[in-house]
Amino acid sequence: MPPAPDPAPFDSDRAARLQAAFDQAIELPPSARAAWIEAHLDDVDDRAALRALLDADGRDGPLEHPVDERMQFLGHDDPSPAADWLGQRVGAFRLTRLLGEGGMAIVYLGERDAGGFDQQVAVKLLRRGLWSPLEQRLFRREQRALASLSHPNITHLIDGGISEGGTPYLILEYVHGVPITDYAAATGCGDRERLALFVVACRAVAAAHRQLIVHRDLKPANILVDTAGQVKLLDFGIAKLLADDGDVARTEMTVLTPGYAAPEQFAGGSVTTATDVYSLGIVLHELLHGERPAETASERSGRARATAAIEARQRTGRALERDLANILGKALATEPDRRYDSASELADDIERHLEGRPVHAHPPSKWYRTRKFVGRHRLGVAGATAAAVAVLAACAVSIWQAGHARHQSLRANAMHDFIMTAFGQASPGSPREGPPRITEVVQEAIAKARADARMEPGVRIELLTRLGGVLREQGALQEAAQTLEWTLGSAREHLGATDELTLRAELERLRVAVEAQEEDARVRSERLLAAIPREREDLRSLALVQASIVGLRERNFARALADAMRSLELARAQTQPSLVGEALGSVFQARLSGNDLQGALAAGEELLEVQQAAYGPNHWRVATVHDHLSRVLRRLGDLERAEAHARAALAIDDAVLPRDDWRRAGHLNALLMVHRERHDYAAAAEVARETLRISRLAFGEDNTKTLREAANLGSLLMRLDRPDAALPLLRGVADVFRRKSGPHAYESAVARSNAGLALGMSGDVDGGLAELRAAIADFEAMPKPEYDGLAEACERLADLALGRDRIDAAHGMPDCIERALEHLESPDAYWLGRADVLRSELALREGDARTALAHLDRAAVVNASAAPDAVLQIQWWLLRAHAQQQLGDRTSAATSLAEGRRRMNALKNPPGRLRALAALPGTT
Amino acid sequence: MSETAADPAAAQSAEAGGDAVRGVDELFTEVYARLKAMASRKVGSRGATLDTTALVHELYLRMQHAGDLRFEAPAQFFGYAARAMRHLLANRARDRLRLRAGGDWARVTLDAHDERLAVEHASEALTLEEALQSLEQRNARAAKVIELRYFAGLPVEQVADLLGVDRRTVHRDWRFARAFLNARLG
Repeated sequence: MPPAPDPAPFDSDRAARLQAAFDQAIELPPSARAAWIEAHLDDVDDRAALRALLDADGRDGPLEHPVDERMQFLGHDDPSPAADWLGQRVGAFRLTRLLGEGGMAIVYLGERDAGGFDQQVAVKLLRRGLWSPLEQRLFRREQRALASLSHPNITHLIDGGISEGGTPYLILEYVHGVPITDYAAATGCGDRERLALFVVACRAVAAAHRQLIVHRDLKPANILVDTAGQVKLLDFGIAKLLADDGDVARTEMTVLTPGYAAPEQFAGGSVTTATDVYSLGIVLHELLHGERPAETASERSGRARATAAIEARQRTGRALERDLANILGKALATEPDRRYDSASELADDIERHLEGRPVHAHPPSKWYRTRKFVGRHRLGVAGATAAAVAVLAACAVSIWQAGHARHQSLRANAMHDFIMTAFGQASPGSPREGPPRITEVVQEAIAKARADARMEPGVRIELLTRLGGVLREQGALQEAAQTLEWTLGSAREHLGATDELTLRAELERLRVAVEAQEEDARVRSERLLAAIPREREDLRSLALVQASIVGLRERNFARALADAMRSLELARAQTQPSLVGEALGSVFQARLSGNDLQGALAAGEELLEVQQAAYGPNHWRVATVHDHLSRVLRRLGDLERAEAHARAALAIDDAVLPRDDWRRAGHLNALLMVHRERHDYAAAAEVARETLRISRLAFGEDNTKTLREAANLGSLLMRLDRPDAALPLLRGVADVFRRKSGPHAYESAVARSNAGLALGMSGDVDGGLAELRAAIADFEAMPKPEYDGLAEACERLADLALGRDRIDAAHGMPDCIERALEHLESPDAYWLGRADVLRSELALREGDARTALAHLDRAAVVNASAAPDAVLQIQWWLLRAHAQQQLGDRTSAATSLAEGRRRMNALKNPPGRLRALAALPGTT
Repeated sequence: MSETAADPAAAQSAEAGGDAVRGVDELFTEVYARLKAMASRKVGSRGATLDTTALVHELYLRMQHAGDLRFEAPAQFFGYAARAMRHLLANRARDRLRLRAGGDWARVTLDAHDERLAVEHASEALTLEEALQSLEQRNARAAKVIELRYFAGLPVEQVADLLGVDRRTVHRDWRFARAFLNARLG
């Protein structure tokens, strides 16, 4: 055990006295309290303490945040329990590699190391515990049932049980394979082969159903094709084992995968073999069309979802396609009763189709289809504008979004004509046109509109406002601001300050100001809100959205949320779904920033539906919502769904944006964050590379966003022990910041210290030390030094010096850290004890074990503190072992060493320096 | 796992109750482990909101229902549960901060806003824990009141019953403890 911390000195009599005094004084009116204190307390300290308490009584404090909210925010515990298991034995197998981690289980590759015959298995460790004898009995019974399931296309359950530590585990046949959809894509096989593979999967599912085992979680990731081309189904019945609490009354906890789960799984209905049929239907859709049916599953009407993607084919397709669409329609029916009775019937129908015989599935009735059609188009754009929309969509222009009803038809026509000419060159239906191209075309159009003397001012103003909006959406903020300033001037002159078009131009200008973080954004928003007439609630709603964003920037979350909620309220009373979308977006952001993650999630999910309804499933606005949802789910700890949403955003990007679009970089960042949260630095680095590539193209080398992405990648590479690769990146970042902002800007100095460490770690120790010293000097020379950055640079220098045996260079660094921290009002807990641990290591290197121990004693706070840093703690124990060893206390040294090693083994990627310390000579 | 090993909860919980059938530590560890598992499933599951009060009561019913409630009295259970909740929060916060072991991530953040908020939140939870510890040393009963009311969400009546004092005392303790914590965290 670590030594107990010295309890802070206090006097329990005094504490009781203070509480008694508090109880009395608090009953008095505030004005009478001071006199009371004077009269009743003698001690100066007591008086001060009581005043402080009375003062604090009137404030809000930590208890105003319910513990639920705190817990929710911190999300999942056990960020990586996985590391604990590596190398351990489970059953007859040794765990050699982490295969995957989900919410309910962790999967390792297991190898049998006995008897000289090697067998690879997948070992699934369940996160849930089994505490009661009843739960354990149920688990074993279920496991026996699964073990009896033997089929060539279903992975076999080899063993299962409960480890000594109480963790339930399952040992399964390990399959070298890829998901059926990936296999089909990789081999480029045609529909017939795909269907044949799928039939094999259906037959295997049917075999399990005959033994009354339902899969519950069928998806491509669970339907593999192995290296021999064999279909193998994974995880049969395991979803139930994972979820089953042994508590009959509780059914709320189910394991399901959103994209593939059947409606009854969301609705909490009973899960039957029909559930698996539905999931098979989704897999079939994905196999045939490369994606799941258009609408997301969730609680929404399954009927809409099942038919949305399929109907087009039922209407327009050739006979064979119609067959498949009918088969899909039947498999994906909302009501379980209307689906195929079994997986074998589904397989039969597909075989009929393959053999050219009539299938049993029927299309829905004509009446039904008509009703659906009307339903779908109720919100749609009027038919006449459809052709124009097709052209304009090519440029991601939202000009027609609100461009009907309210406009005088004359003006609308004039705009229409102009746009058709201006965009004439843009090839219709080419959504892959890149942003540079769009901005060029738009700039050209703007120039034309400004020069066209015959154009009516109202038309010109409206047109320019919208084109300015397009520039903004494309990220060309400066150009947008210029255009809109000109437009605004012209609008005030020709139309007056309160004309609707002037207000719209103001709104668009405000949007640019907000997005570009201009300083007068608040002033602009106040001015606009004051100018909007009472009855224009649509405009007010939109302006409030911007005001809310400004509130977020000011970190005034309460105000931001209030503005957002008001905006939503106004929007809901309007008929345009786009208003609700914008308002919901700001509610989402405000809740997110105010730490209301569940609230944000709810807003985000509604937003997703609204945007999908308004823009269709494949629109960049929908992708943005997926991106948001990914970020909030990640913070809620639901990494699987977070990843799914990030990938959904990227899938949309792939469909509608060029590979180099800047928005794609943002969505990649969401994915990267999920990888990083999983500590999967290799995967994160891979994504970071692509993000960086895009940022370079979209923003240029010297843009701050690009530099940040480069720093990210460099940092990931350092994590992966690849300073060589990190060095050029980090050095580049440092150079650019230095050039852009001078050496004494915070970011310049931070970048310099990053690059210095990378330089030193990749071999040029002197160079690295020199750069770090220079970074320290840069920090110190700042007019307002950033002290945490300074402390960090000092720590890095010490780390590098110690790691490369340059003890002299590390001298003075502990003092440097402490001096820097003295300036900080509340230093991060990260720094606790750090300087003393460093001093101890220095003393030890110089052979002074006694002094080293004394420093460690002073640093004992690292173990007792409420915020331990794992690496520092391990260092503490290992240094202690070294010092004790040098002083000849072998027994204590062995104990300390064991403790240090134990803790180190729990880390996923222990830094090299720790590993070196842990190899203490003279011990075993 | 490492988390419970480093957790002083087991040792401290001895004060909370008498000798149960099993060791006190073991019993506390079980309450802790079950609450922890229930809480993380709630956080991880779709659309569910975490309600710690409901969680504590659900566990009580379950353990009672399963016949494996080895507590002498409900008081003992709720004492444990409240303390378990408190440690759960502190441990999660520590985990959050541990993620940044190595230090460079926190500053070279990818998603600076996210990360800063997470770290802020975790730091505040730990400061709260530290403040509670010093309150515990000074005014143990007031700290207990915070534990039972804030962490386990028990109503004042029940807290009064459990501690064997009247409701007025609970109110007074709460107000004092609240001011104490506010002053510490202010």
